[in-house]
Amino acid sequence: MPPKSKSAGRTTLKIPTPLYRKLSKLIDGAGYNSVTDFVVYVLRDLAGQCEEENKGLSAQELKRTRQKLKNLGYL
Amino acid sequence: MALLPRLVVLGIDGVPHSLLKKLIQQGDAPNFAKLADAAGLRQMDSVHPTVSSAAWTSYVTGVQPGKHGIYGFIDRKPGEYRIRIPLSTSVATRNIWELLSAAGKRVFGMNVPVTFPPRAVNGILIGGFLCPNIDKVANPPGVIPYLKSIGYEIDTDAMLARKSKDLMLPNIHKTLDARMEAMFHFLAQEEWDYFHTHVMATDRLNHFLLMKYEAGEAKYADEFLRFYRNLDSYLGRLLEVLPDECGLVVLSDHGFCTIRSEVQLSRWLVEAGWTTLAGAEARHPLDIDPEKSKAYSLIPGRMHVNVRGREPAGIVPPEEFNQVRDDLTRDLLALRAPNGAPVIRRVFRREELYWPAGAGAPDPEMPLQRVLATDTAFGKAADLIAVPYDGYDLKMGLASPETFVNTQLEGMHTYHDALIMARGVELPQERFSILNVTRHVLSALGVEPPEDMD
Repeated sequence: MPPKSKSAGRTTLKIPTPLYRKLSKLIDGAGYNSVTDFVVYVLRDLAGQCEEENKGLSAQELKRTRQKLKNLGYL
Repeated sequence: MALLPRLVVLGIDGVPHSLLKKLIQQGDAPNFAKLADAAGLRQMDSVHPTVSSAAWTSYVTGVQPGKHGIYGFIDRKPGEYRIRIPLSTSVATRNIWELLSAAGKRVFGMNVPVTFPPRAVNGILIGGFLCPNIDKVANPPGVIPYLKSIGYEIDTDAMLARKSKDLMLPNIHKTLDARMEAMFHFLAQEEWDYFHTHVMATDRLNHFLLMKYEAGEAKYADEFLRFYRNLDSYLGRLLEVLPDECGLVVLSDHGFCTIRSEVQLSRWLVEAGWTTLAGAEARHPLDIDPEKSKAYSLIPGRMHVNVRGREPAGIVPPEEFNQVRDDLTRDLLALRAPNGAPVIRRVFRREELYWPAGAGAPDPEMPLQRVLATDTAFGKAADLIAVPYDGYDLKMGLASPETFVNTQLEGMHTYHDALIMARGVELPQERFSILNVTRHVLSALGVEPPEDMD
């Protein structure tokens, strides 16, 4: 179980203070509300990349999905 | 019904607010009229690009595409000039079933686009139409034998519609009937907190019959109405089994209008000198000669600049990126249909729509690392997003030598004409987009929306 935090659905992670300061400078003027927002954004992207899509589908099944999209005008 | 759900969501894909209003006024949708009287019928916006995969993923995650990373039914493979089909594994954020599951709620979802493969939730998730095999459609898979036993169809067969409208119609009814049978079956199984069923057949009908309906062609206009009356009677049955204290949300993800012409933007890019194809036999929109191509496009209206250092064989120096985008925007806005009418209404830069701070955030200077990013949710976005005038359906085919073509497709998506009716969920007073609905659904169920939800 992750540790509880005051904010519902959130967990506290600790990062080195120098890194925090560096990130603060990096995001200055880049459109993020806070270092936390930036870190969540980056980590979520990373988690998304790690998952291999099309996993568990045979070549025949992928072909069927492609054909479906073609019939609908998306391919 | 002994077991009552707390909140039921019925997604009716691509049903325009304007069409439902008309059907209600004509007396063709008495049950929708009843719900509209009680809960209100409101028009809402979709997302850009206006395509069901991006729009429904925005609903189920409550965030804009720049955060969830789904921009269409196809995307490019990072590092290659090849196409991939983004599935639920590409969605970078948690969906509503996962968020509610984490709060201990019992959840159900059926057939919502880009939910295949179905993620593990506290309940049942049955994947959307990209699933090619019913044996893999559900999580947990224990419900699959039931689905098979009732003749559950993952989607209508669009190949039939390409062949003949007469072949399509029985298939579309069969798909709806089985979907509704499954909906009532699962609804009666337990006291669900969140119960979400999706109807895709409405979108398919509008794609292949909207023109005939609007033109009042005797046979097909009647068939079009018969389908919507049937859908209305299912809503009537749902209203009968759900007491007024059960929450109920009926929503669509985009509107529809009739097609004047499909616009093969990949072909136009070749004609305008932006793309050079790999050879005369190229049929694939990414089958380009990268050393002679400054840009390429993906459906619908997503323009990618062939940037050096980002694309596998890019030629546009990063420092020229914004100038190239300006030049391409100018050319897109100058594109004219054969009758002289303008085709592209507006061209967005990706940071205008998808910057992580949220849609509508100030246009930031694009830092180089953002220009070169491809694997992040934001980095998967097209560099420019072209929005057409109603009637010009942006495609990417190369099979025809023409930019402007007409096929069996009769209807195309619109951004501004989605609909929502909500009972037991408080919606914003001001106009909103489909992605803004989710946090209110969570609140209605007593779950605090995540801080980074839009």
